[in-house]
Amino acid sequence: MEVLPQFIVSGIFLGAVYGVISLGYVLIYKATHVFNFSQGYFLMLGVLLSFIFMEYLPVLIAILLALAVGAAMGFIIHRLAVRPLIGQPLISALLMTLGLAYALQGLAIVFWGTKVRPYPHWFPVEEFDLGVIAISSPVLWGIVATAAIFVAVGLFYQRSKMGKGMRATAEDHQVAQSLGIKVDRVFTFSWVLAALLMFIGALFFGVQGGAFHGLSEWGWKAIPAVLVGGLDSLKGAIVGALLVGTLEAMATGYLGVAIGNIMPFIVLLLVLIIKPYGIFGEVRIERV
Amino acid sequence: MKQRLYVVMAIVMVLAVGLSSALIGGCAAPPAEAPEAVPPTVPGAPPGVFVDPETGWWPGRVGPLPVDAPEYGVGFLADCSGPIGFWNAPRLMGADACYAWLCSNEYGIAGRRPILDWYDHKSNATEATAGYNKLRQKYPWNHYCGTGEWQMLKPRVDPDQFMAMGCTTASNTVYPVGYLFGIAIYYPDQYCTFLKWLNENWDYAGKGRNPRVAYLTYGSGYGRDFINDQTAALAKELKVDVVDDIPLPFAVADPDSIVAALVKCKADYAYGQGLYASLPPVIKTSYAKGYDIKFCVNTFGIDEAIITLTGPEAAEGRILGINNLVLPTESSEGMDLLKEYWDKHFVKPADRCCPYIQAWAEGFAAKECIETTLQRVGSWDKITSREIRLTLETWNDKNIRGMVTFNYSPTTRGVGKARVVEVRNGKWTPTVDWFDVPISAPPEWRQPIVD
Amino acid sequence: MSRPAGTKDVDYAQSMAILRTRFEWVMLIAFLIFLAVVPRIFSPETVDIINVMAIWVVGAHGLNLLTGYAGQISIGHAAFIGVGAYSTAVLILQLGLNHWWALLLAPIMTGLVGMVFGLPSLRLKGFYLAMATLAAQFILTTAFLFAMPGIVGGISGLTVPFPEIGGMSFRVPENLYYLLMPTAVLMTFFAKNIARSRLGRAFVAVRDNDLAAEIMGISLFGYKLRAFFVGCLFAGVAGWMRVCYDGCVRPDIYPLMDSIWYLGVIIIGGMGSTMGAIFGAIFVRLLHEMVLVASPALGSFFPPEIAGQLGSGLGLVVFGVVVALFLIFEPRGITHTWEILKGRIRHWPFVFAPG
Repeated sequence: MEVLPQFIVSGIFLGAVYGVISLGYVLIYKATHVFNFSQGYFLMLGVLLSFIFMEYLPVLIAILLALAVGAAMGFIIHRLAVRPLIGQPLISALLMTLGLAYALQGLAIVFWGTKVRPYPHWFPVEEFDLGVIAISSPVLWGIVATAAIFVAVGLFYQRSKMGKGMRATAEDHQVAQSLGIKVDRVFTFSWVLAALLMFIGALFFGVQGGAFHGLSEWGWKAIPAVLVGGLDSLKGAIVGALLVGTLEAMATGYLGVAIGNIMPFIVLLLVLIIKPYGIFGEVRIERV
Repeated sequence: MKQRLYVVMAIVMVLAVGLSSALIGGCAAPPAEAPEAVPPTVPGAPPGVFVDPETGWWPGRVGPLPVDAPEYGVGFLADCSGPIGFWNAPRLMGADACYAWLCSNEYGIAGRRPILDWYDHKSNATEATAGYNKLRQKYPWNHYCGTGEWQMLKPRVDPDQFMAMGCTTASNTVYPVGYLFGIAIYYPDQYCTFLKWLNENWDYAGKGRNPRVAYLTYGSGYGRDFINDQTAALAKELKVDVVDDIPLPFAVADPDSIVAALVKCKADYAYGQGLYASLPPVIKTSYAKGYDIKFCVNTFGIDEAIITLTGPEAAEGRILGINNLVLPTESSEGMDLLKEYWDKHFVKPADRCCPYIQAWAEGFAAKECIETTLQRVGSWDKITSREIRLTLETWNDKNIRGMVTFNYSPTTRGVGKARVVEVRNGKWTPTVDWFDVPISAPPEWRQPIVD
Repeated sequence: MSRPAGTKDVDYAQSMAILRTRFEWVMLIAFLIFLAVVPRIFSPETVDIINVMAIWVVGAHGLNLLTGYAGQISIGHAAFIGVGAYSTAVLILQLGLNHWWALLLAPIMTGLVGMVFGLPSLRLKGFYLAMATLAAQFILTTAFLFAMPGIVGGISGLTVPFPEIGGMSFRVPENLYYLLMPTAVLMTFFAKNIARSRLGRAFVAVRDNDLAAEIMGISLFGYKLRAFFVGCLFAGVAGWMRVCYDGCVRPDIYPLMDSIWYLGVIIIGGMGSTMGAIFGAIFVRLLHEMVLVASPALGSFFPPEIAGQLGSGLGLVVFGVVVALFLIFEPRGITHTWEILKGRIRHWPFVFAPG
């Protein structure tokens, strides 16, 4: 096995994990301008809940049930916690998502505990030897699933009426509202979609990491990725995540601990200096 | 007129606050002098032994504790819901269960009912200090865990004489010698133990080269404590090549890159303080890709969970551990009691884990230590953290119910006996017999406390 | 600002003073006397909680000037406090200065570091700037960990002796209180004065409308950098206090979570108000203390086999719910409630100001 291609593959996988989480961040930020700190906690809950369902139910039903619960969770959280803050400074909503993060972590500990369990292999887990590299199927499926999610969300944004409404809302809330787009519904839908994405991602990434309450750490690690790509660009979320993931894996492999750890942030700082709104972020034309 | 009213109000407020707090403070004042010791009149006590006048306990007294037995507070400060919550939550449960068991079977701790006063510091330094201040100068016996937090608290622990036993045995906690006692081997010593074992077991002639070891560590005080100049020098002396230093994230997202890094440096062994929350995906990947890298964990990684999570085939012969605690598959006095308890109370298999066993060892150690101290000093109010420390410092080569062997002295603070265990047939199996742990802490850290 | 009827400013000096009536002076002096005797009437445990609050108050003042007044959101404040702490430790241990020189120099060093990370504010705004400071958080804490381990101590940090004056060690909470609380009071005074000076008014102008501010002759970039310098100056003092309190510096005790909580402090207290920082720090610290105590208490309702799990989990849930409820019902912060309350008391028995 060559080492370099292996690093690239694992970097792409890391990028896929970051990518799905970044998509969640972007969806919510784009529509509501709230940065959702509890994103990683959604992922963690997704892993734990789908694990519990799969233990008692047939795989397909369990997955559907988990996704339904995920969507319901996004809906409830938006209605109960985030919606009452409309009209308040955005920074309050930021703090609210942090409070949510604490509550979700607490809920996970109450119902799941602090134990670690292997996630069920609900799809065949095997090793594909491609000559130069060997890819394990969770990695492959994870990458494929991320690509599929990305394409689906992209199409939804481009083609569907709701997606168009969401794009209009992202431009300007008041204008969208005056044009008859139900902005409130768009907000709710963004939260539901983001939670749903995390739960879909959880189905694939849980197999790699096992199921426990510490998975929320991934949410924090994906923050540089989403910023590199640009906070309000779907394309950017994926590209940024792939860039950050690959660079992180390569730096860890070749340059050592210190560099690998802060690589995402070095990339981030460089991007912020050169292209302040991210690689694909929308440039607001105004003097600062 | 109105302003004068305000002035009066202000003075009244200040007085009220001051008085009420003075009252509260008055309630919290230490109780009056203990009554004079009366000669023991406890029926059933064998003649000539020490009998505690307060609780009617004598050494060796068994049986359930009366319901109205006086309580005895025991502190517990660790991370129960943060990153190392998976370790301390079962440990807390175990400690609770052990103390309850002692009360219903062995007359509590010298006739008193231990009550756990626990705080969860969530691996956050500020919370740890806040929790510490709730326990400071309160109980002579405490449990602790969390390397970074306790290294931070170390400048307070020794002047405060905060006596605690726990599983963090890093530098700047148990050494320099102070009031923190470890129920594990000092982390650098664990690594030295591993090096020693490797040197003795590596086939230098057959392989024609030195064994290659890569560090695989968390980027935290806990993970990287064993890396220092002394251990590096020892590795050189014992002909072990340290080839790389690879970070292990806590929640592993891409085991492939870690394995690739291990392959790149051609490591034979990956040594680190990895825990069962992080290592299994890496070992699984390494096995699936057909590499023969062995992973060495420390005593906290020696757990059934790591085998279950890795899968028995992948774990087979691939995981080593530096062990100082009895294994659940073994039989010893303490372990038999524990197994009996497990079966009687239907403890879930997932909870029958290493921290749980360790908590019982700590509970037994607490009982033993407090009872010995009581016999030496004569009465409960004389049991101070200093006396407890003096008792513990006499525990050289002291085995606690076949669970763990301490090697405390005025100059050492760790566990004295270790062995190397390996996964064989899906079970942790000792490969060598218990041997003495090398002591690598620098001499200036091993100065006895002068008081 | 409403005051009881008949209370009027009679000259410019009174109009510009912080305390304008005799009653305010009396209250302040009573409060200061109360502060002075706190260690005599409260238990050491309580005094220690107040010590931590004092540190948080100073840190929050810094962030309040930077974020509340100048509008530059920073999610790296804990790391800047870490810079202050590390500067203090290095000045004391490696350069052999004493604590008091460090108190003078460390904040300035922190301010300069803060200015470096404030440079992106030239081009960035709002949440993107917040993210640049988030990068600062990670880069700085990684630097503590890996840069120059010979000087800053690497993973195990540095142990700094507790300050001493003439044989009295400030290690014990009751003594330390007399070091931290005067510092906090003094820094509160400075914060209040900065906020109502030319500098503070410029900050507010930049925050409220940067274009208008520039037209009025306020150099945007200059004042943004000054905001970073002043904010981090306070962070440096808080870092110095942390060193006095912790007795050590370590790379892992200035985490991202604390940075976010500093932001939480000024949001909960009320942004752009000196009192807000104080209220917020008290509220947030009390909340943390409450969860610390509530977790075991909640656990004790359950059988011991699950007490630890449920206790610590429910503690976190309570924490999140309290924050959420607070934000929903009082999104403008405690200062807002406080002002309303003060007004109610003044106008009692009327609901609104008569006349």
